[in-house]
Amino acid sequence: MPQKCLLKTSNIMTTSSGAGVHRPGHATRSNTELLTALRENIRGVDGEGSTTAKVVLDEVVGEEVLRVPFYDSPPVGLQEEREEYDVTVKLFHLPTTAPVHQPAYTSAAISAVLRELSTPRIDLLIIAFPGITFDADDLPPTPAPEPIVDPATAPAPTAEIAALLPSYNVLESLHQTGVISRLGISEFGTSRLESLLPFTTVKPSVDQINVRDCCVVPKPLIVYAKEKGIELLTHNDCAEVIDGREVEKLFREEGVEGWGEAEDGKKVVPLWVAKYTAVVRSRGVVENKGYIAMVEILP
Amino acid sequence: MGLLALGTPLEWKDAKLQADRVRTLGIQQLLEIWNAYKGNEKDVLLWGDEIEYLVLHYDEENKNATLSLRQAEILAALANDRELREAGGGVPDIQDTKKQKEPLPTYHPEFGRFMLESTPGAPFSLAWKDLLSVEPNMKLRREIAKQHMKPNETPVTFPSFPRLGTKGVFTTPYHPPTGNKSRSQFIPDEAINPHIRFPTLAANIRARRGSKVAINMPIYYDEKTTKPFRDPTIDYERYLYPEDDDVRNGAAKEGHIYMDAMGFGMGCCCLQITFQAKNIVEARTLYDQLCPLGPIMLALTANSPIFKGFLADVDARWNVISGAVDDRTEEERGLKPLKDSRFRIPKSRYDSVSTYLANDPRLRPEYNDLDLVIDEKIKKRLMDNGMDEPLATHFAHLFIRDPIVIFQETLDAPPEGKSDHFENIQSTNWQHMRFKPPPPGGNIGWRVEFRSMEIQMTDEENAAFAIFIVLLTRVILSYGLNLYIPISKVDENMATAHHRDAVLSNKFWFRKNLFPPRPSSRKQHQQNGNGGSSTPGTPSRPGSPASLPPVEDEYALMTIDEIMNGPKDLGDQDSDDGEGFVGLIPLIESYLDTVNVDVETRCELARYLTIVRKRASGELQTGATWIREFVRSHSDYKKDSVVTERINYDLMKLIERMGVEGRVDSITDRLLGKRND
Repeated sequence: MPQKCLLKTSNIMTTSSGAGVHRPGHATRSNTELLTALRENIRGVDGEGSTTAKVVLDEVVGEEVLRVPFYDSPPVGLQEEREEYDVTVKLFHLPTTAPVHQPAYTSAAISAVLRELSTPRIDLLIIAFPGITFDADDLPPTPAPEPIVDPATAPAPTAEIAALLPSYNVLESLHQTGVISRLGISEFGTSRLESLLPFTTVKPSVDQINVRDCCVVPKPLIVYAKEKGIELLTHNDCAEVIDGREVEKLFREEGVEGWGEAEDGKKVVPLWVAKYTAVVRSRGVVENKGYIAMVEILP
Repeated sequence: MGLLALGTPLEWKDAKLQADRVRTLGIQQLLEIWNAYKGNEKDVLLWGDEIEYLVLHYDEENKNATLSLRQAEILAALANDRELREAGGGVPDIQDTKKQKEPLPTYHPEFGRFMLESTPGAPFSLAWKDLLSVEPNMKLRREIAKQHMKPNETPVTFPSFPRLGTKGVFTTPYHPPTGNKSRSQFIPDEAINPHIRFPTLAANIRARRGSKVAINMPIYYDEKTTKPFRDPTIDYERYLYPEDDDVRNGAAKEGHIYMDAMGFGMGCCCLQITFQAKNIVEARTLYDQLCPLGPIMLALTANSPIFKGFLADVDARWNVISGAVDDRTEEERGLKPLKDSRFRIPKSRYDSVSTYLANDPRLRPEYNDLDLVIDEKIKKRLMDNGMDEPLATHFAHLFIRDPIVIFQETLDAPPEGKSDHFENIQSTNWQHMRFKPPPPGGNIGWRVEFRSMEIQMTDEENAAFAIFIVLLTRVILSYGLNLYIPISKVDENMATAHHRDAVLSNKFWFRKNLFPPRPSSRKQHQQNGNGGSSTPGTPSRPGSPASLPPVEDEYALMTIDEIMNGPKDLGDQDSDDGEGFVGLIPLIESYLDTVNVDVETRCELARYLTIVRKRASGELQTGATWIREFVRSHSDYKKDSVVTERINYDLMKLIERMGVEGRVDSITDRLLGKRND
């Protein structure tokens, strides 16, 4: 039986000695950041009711889940009133999973972050899909006449859009219930945006572009985004945010419960990763940043 | 400069009799403010820059650039400008405060009658649009100032006028240097702002000291400079004032450019940044954490290689100002045994910070390693009234100084609800950081001022350094960085920062690991997480003192390139354990990767960070290096260290153009980078 496993870093701003810092000469790798911080968090286990791994019934996921690491104390949450913060969550769907599972993963990931920050809502949720990368030369195929699309009569979405819509619909319903204030997508060029928008009821407010492209964003995208009220934000996340083999290696190195030093054929398959940040709005201070990831362990 | 009260200033002989009284009233006012505002919480980040200008006057016929002494008329014109007044800007004393829609910049007088200071009409926030408005706002300030000048006058952002105090004509109109206030043989009293506060400052500093101030900056020996250099502009045969004996008694050092008046220092222009912190705890944290950056930023912004018409062997102005307001008596300076003075005082009132003041578990006692001079009675009084020791020590240190200018009227008025006596001492302690309590009665919070940077020739550079410091404060708070080194090392760095080309040729003491220690266990982390009013990101108590490494192991000598950009050699820097020094710019970039930044802002911020990064790496020159090269390659330069009228004229013309246009042809490539670089 595969075992679901929830990985947590805790707050990497204050507990991981700069794990989240880009070191010149290294490619900025959010995967390194995640792994370094996870390692720190596992090493922080002090033995008093805490352990590197423990199976618990996870009410958020709705099934038994192995927590790595496991702490008996509740998450710290935010220090000041909720209104003081901008809480941003970026959810990474992974190439290792089938799109059909993504809507369920989307719900689970968001619930897990809400629990971690002890907050009922997220200001901005950005969803990133595997295989979608920004193309600075991306131009709309034709000077497209503005299509006024009624979803009922609209042409079918492209296969790519069709695959991600179910997840996007989950976000839309969380927007309607007030859990998420603004929605965002990542690495969409103009033509992808044009393909997506007709099929949304809640338009994305944000499109995230990799920072290396921030000074070469094509004019048509800037114009289009402005017209549609979409803010173009920057990110510096790598394409592959988590690697199952790296996680296996880390488990063995840190002696996580149930993982010996020797190879025993156990495999880690990542399901999703959520990165969250809580920034004190009026002062620009990042108070909390961390990762939560769900993986599956195959015996 | 703050508001300028009018009144009857006391001469030094009378003022010194009131010094204790002013200190007593000042402490009373401080305690009142402290009690009223120590509980302030959640003040937002507001910040602002102060930019100072020299006002030039060109004599086109003789190709001479001089200092215009029309400060008062220009400020009056600015204040009278109807548009400006309607918009709520203008000179603070005169503006009517009715409307504040699009607040236009404000202008303030300064010590030099040839200077203007400008500040944004309203403070900036951290909103990205505010950061992007800094440079346009600076440009606007320059433009408005220019509009209120005569056609042959212009404002330039340049720290020290190259020919201030030379034998020729360097002010318009010309005045002979015979004034009674400074008694300088180089600078006329007419170059001082005539508001009675300023000449009194100059006179009372001189009187308190018992001689003129004496500033000696080393000459830059070029191929044909006379060796040894004896400042040829000194008149050893003047018998106008008793202080003319100073030079006959050895005030001027061989090999140095000699300056003898407050105007040489307080006539310098600076770039200062003030931040409002969320509460007193955060303000104290920022004060301490920015303190070690003071000398680094001085070296990085170095822009003053010329004094009194000579190329100097230093790049920075700081020590000139320090010497220019050094009012210590011979006893205080340790030249005579203590008799009438209260203390031996190792530093000028204008100098680097001598004590950290945060109530921070990371502040090891070893960091405050200077033999700090304090007024014990004042410290006791503050602590008896509930102030904690580090803060009480800080103020007891500032209050070893005498008030220099006392207006009789202020002594007769009730002190309650005001800060005038407190500020009299506080704001004549010109250290490289300033911890600013809230003004009584208002809703301004606790602030910290970063004061060491030199003004840059272009607004792009000024914006770059201002924004760099603002972002760095956010990084310090977000990552809970620890930059503490022993404060004596900050002093050492301050001296190093003056060296010619210090930014590339010298190393500076800096902390090796800026990150908080890992909590030894989760329990500890949990406790710290519930810190209530503590600054987010302030790290945990670093365990018992016994577990700490020796202080000497915490810091090392680094180049500014390493400090800013991180070490070049990344051999054992594997990110695996997160150890190793990370430069300040990569830290800022990590911060920007963490918060939500739009593409346009990020691209603009990258432009500013590039200037700082390349200055540190040497890809771009500091202003000082660039100016030195300009002088040395000028056709009028005789390789004798002398900056002639014509060289100065051409330099000022070029700087004026740069102030307006930014990049000028390819002349500025090494300073600013190529266009679109």
